[in-house]
Amino acid sequence: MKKIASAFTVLKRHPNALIGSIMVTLLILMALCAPLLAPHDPLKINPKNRFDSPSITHIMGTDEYGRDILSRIIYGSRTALTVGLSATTLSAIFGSLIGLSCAYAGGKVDEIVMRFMDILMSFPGILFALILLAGLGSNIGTVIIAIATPAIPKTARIARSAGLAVRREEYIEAAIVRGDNPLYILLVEMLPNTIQPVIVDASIKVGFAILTAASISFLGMGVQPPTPDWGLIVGQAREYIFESPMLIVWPIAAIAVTTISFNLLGDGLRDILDPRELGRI
Amino acid sequence: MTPSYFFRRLFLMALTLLCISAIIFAITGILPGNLAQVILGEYATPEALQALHQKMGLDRPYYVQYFSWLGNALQGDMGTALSMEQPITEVILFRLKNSAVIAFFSLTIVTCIAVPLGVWAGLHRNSLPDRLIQLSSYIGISIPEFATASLLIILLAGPVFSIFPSTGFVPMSENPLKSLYHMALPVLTLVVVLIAHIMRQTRSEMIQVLQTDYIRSARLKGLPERQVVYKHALRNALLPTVTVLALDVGYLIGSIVVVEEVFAYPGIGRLVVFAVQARDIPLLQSSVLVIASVYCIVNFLADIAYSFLNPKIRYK
Repeated sequence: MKKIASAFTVLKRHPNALIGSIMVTLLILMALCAPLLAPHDPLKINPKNRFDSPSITHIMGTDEYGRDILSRIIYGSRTALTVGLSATTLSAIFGSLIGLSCAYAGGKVDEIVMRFMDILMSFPGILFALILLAGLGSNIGTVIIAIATPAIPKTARIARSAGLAVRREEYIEAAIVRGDNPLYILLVEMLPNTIQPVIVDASIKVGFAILTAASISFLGMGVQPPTPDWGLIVGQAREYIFESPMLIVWPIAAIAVTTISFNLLGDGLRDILDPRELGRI
Repeated sequence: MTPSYFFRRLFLMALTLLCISAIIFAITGILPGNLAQVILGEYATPEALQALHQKMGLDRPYYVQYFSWLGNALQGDMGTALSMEQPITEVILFRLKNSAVIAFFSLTIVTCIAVPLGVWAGLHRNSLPDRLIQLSSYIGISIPEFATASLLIILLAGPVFSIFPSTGFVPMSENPLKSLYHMALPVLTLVVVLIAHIMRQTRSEMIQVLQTDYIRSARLKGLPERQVVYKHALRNALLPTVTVLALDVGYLIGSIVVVEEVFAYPGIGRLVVFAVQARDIPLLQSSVLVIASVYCIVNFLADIAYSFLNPKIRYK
């Protein structure tokens, strides 16, 4: 309880982080409780009610198949959050493992692996994602991999520089002399002391991952119809852009609100954990 | 600039491109759904597959296939696209030129608007206009390109203000004015997408420079504020902008893929999307390789330019 109270005092001093964390919590709740919140079945086709204007039964109207837009937007948060959060978690895990191993090993291994990471970094992310999707096929799992992979090199860099600072500490030397297993040293001794910058970086990346996922769905290379997904809704509604512009505006608003919430949280988290960056956005 | 720096960067660029070409080839060539299968369809007989394999050289070891692909590409021969009866090199050059035109216009416009605004915002930190600029750029980076593009279509090509065409393409050589007219919306979208990014970078660079010791001593020795800002701060703040602009070409490439698709603009980004959808692996490999090369070359040139502007770098 005391911890929660102190967390709240910190948050009060950082309005960005406060607003961000409230919005992110609400979004996660919305995704979890989608079946309770959605007024209709998001997949229920109703040919009689195509392009209905907003009414009491359909607050945002209906789409080209007569499906309730509000319900589809609510369910869409599930795909967006799943992809955004798992892709960033995946890249954070692999990035920090690679970065820390390099910091621990040093020497030639470090140099070769990090050079390779630099090379990967000079490959535009969305292209990397697209050829991965072309090779692996499109479903929610491959989308997560396609977004996570291009993000690994930068995380590895961050984890490595944090790891190098820790590597020189006496307790690591002691662990090596003691003959501890390298894996144990990496995961138990180094990881907890280097995780902070990785978490800050990951929290900033969630918004970006959600944007990329939306673009991939928009291009028709991500999750496939009829899955309710914000990017996909816009992609499919493109044909009806002038007949029913709101069909495009609603999912865009949902994407923007979600990304802004995660960006606020990420920036706020960085301000709290790294006061030197304070005031810079 | 020392020749050794130049050659080291050149070597690094070549190495990067070699690795990237290998990655492209590995992901698209070895993963499931191989070429012959794609061409002949799911129900092809094993004999037919075998024959086509041999004809296309797919039965050779992977490294032989890779080096012959790369060797031919270096000589300007990228083979024939599966989905269109045209040499890939020809298609790519035409598409690349179209993309280069909109990329050039967008980058020029963005630089002219975003850099001064960013500098100004950095100088008048936390003033009302600065906060407004900050807020709009915050929203700007939170909206995907296809959203900006769609909203601009609704706004400027829709029934209300029908100012610009939402699709279509006219070659520059045919009718320059009409060509520009059709480019207006794609370029405008790219400008909106990039402006937030460059403005934020310039602003934070300016703020950082203004906090350095040499600015403080310039102020303390009584230099007029004008001179402090324009002679001391601005030059140093603008230096990294060169790198930021080069990095933004990477960002621009990502945006261009989506924007060209939305406006049905025949650029190289749309070619990549088309190649993925048509499962045209040779076309995909070559077009991605070309885009990656452009990006690497731009970065290389930016590094060289930066070393001209900032003598400290050369001797590292």
